[in-house]
Amino acid sequence: MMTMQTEQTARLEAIVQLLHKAALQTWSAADDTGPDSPQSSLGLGIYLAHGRAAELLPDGHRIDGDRLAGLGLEPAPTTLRMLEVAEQLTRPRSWPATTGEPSGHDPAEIAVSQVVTDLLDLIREARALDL
Amino acid sequence: MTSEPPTSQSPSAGASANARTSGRAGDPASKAAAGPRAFAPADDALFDPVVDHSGDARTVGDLLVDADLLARQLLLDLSGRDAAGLLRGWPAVVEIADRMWEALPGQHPAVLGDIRHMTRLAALTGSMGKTMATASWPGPGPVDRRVDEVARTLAAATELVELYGAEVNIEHGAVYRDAAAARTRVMHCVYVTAHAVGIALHEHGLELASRTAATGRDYVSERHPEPFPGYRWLQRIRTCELTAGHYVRHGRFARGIAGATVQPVENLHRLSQALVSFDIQTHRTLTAAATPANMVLACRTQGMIAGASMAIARAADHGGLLPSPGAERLAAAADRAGHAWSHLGSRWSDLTTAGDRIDPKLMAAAAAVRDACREVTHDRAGLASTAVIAGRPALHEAVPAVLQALEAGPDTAHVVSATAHQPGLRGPARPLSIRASNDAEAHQSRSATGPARRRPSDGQPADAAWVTAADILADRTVPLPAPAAVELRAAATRLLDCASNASAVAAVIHSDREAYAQQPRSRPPRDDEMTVGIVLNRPRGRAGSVPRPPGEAPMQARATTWERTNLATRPVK
Repeated sequence: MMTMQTEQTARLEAIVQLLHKAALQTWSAADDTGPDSPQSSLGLGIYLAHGRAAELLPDGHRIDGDRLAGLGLEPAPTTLRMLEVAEQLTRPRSWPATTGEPSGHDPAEIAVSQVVTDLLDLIREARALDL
Repeated sequence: MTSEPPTSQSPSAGASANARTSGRAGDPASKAAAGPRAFAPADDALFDPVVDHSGDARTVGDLLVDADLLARQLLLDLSGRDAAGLLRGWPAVVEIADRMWEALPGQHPAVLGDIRHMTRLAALTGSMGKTMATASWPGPGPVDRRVDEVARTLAAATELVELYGAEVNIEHGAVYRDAAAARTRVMHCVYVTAHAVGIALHEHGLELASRTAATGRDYVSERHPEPFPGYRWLQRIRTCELTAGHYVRHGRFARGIAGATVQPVENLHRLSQALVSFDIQTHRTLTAAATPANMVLACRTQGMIAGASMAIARAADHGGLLPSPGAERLAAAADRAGHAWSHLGSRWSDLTTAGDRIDPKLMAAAAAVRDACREVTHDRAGLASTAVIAGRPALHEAVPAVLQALEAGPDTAHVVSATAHQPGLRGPARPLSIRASNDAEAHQSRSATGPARRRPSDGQPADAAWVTAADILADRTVPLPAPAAVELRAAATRLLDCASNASAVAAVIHSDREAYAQQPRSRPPRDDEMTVGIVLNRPRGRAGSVPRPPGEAPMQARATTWERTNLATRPVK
């Protein structure tokens, strides 16, 4: 059975991969427009959020394989969609009582607070740009 | 919600009202009178006489999760119009969060340091509430429904903890951790709400500043020393966000960015300070760890700075801070430099994987630059119009700041270029395979139409496999294939050219602008100050040292064209 810690790490890995992919995709679109494209700034914001999320992974941790499978993403998701899915992954979840944890909360889970506010700011920004 | 909104007369009125209806009722008789009973009178003894079982069935954990989601929804949909209502509702959120913390069991001496965060937050917010009662803005009025809902949900959780907290056996390790998690989740909720209130206040300020600028007036005066109404509130809410942030951002990243995420906002020198700090940090980071992930961040941030420089140059032209020939030339040079930085950043990103770490200090410096640039060049819908940027007070300081940043560009370009020429670069197999194939193909098509140049990939067919299928399947790290390595170095060389060009253009404009700024302002500027002075009056050697890209009109011709325009519009003396 997957423990709370490994489930959280798996979610964090998916967030990191999503943000990395979203940043590169946004920059790729910005490169076609020009350096003053709003997407250039958005791409930088996403890359910074990716860096912050990656910092939360354990030291020396390597992400093996594609963690995006099973997230229900379309073959070519938009930047906004990837940000929204990443934000959903940061939401607290109820943990089955069989694990022995009282209510499924772990203090380590909350370390994503900065990533949460980053993601919500980026989603607002991406929506305004109609991406 | 359909009820009337609570007012600022009683910040916690909404939360208290909720407590009466959904948590504790106290008097069973009054409960019975309030609505239909869900069980027979004979079954009274089976139920807790205090808690209303027919009401809210959520647990403390459920309520805290809901409060978190409500705070997130608040942050997703914000505008300056929400600022007053959010500010009015803020004290209730902190008041109830403080009560929750007090009620939670397990206040071990080891966590007293953590408890002080909430105590300080409550003190800060308490003084805000007192000021709010007499301040002219936001004044009395409705509380934003969403922030009120956050307070109500936290209040419901608090009521439950106050009822049953004493019964919890905190000696049990898992229970202790659970209480600690609940405390942190409350603070997380406060942090997200503070962030939302701060953003709304900031938006409110920008909207008012734009409106004031459109009338041609300056908001700042002896009567209004702050940049916009609500400025002091913004400073205070940022302090609250910082206090909550210190608690929730524990861990390695928090140590790395200590004090960096709360830059002084609405500081006219913010962009200048951020650009200088980023320049210094880039050199430090790339000297210590020139990893592909750090290179990507450095290049892409430089690309964004170039983009912001273009917008600032156009706005400076519009606002009369820079004469047209200089501004146009600066924007064009920044455009080329921005493309070159972005292209190199794109190539470095081929060498990164999702899990790569980025230097936290470089991230903090880049984030500060991004925020500061957006403050000047963006509005809610993206890049602001040239007229809007021209009306912003920060533009005056932004012009010399970006000129200095462009002047310093070649230094960073040299560091980045040197790394691109280092042997032993490696990256993930799949993106490098795609990049190498594309580069080889592009090189072959160029060779077919242009003069033949020998490349390391010569002799290999375009469809050659630069990376083995086994490496791709196993997602291995492989050496940078020859065609991609050649193009990476070529991109670095192009960047050096473009950054040097932008630096030279910026240097010329910078020194002329300073000379112009020293002139007395009691008369309209003469033509030779406003037009020719920018480029034509430079010593030939200096201006001539600027490499002119192919296809660009000579400097003399551009200035003469502008001069003709200016002669037609110059004021009659």
